[in-house]
Amino acid sequence: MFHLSLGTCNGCEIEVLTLMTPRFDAERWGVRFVKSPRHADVVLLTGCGTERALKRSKRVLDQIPEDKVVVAVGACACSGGIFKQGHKPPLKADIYVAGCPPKPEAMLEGIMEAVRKCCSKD
Amino acid sequence: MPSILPIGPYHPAIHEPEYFKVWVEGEKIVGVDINVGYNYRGVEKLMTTMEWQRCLYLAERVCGICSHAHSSCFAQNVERAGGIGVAERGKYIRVIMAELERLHSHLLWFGILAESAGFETLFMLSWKDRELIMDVLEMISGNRVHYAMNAFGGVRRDINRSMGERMLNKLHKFEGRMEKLKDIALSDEPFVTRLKGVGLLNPWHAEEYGVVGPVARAAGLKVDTRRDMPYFAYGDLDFRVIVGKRGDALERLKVRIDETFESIRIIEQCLGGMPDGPIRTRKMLVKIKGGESASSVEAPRGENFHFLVAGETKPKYYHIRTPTFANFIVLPKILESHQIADVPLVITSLDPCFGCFDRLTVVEDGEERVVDFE
Ligand code: SF4
Repeated sequence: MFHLSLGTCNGCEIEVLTLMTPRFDAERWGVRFVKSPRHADVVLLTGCGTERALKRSKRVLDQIPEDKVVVAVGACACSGGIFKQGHKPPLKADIYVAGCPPKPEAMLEGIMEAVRKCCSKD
Repeated sequence: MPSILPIGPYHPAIHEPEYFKVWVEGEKIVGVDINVGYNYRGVEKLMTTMEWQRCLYLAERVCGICSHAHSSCFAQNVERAGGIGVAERGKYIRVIMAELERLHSHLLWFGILAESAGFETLFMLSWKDRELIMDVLEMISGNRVHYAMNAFGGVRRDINRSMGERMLNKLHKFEGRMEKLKDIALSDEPFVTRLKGVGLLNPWHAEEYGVVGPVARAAGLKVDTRRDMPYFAYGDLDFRVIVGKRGDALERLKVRIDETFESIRIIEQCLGGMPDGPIRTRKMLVKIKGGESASSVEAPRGENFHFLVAGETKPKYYHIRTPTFANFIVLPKILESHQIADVPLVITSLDPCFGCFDRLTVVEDGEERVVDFE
């Protein structure tokens, strides 16, 4: 799983980071955060998609293998959230986790869904 | 001829999208260029299009870590401009929230620093203990990140007696854990050696660049908005301003750790001395007379300054200066003559929060050259 931030308020990012820590621990389901997009099956998107970040992130997204599952986390990534007025609609995702920021439990559910999708593909 | 090493915008060692251009000669750094704007969301412009009540939510979403600091600063501004009184009890609750926020933010930073120094275990431990504070925050406000506690003229939710007791229980448990964490961190030889002398900032440079918050205090400057310009209930409370001596990453760690204990003392005092009465003075705010006002609060990372030119139903102009902005200018100065391997460590030791930082222009290389966004 690769975490890609497209210009957030930091709230979602911190909550994504808590997923790795002992209380929530996504790793117990075999989910690992990878440092390089090339190793990822799932992308976790956060943020409302600022112009600059979108431009740069395109290259990062292109490096991820074709049949990736995209999970949008947070109101920002789902619809633009509170910053909607000024920004392009964010990228299309397969799974949407709403909330500003979503509770870690909700994120975990989204991730589980992504894992299921990945498994059903192959 | 130095060569250029790009770090970011998407880099494994940095959790947010930012771009640093580092000039290197061999392993040595000779110059740094900070290039930001990946998080630029135009908060200030958006503010001028929203009514007061909605602005409060937007102010909170400037940053997800110091969300209470931003929204209380905004509320204070509007209260000053509109001549709205604040409920006494509300002031104390605001202080409690601010200190809880400081606790969780310092612990978060503690973990990230440990991680970038290669001490994963400490990262996990500190984030595990941070959940205690998150539980308290969730108990009071129902949220973990954006508490939505501020209202114009006070706060939205009360803290009753049984809540206070549960809170104290958790905080005391947390204090014990914090002692242990402090012990682990400062008695670990490799960790301490790794931090010692890295990111050195001397007091005169700190003063010259106008550094704020724990970074300034670690360098030996006694600056703290809570003491210098008391707001809310801080005037009635008794607390120490922790000041360090050496100004390196290790000192910043020590200052922050000690500040967490101080924060717990402040919360205890607040819970003990909170006056009874209403928590807010009014229900809604639709219209004010307009005017200008400025206010600053001490966010976990330092002084957070907001300036408002108010219209009747909306702000006409809004300006935010976040602590990271003040602290980050000094980065090129600190990084000079360090090794490449120190870059992530030094960057984290300043505790940057790009979410806050990315809103306006950037001053680069200490030469006050304004960089545009392209
Ligand atoms: S959804 Fe909310 S918490 Fe998440 S980045 Fe957007 S504003 Fe911040």
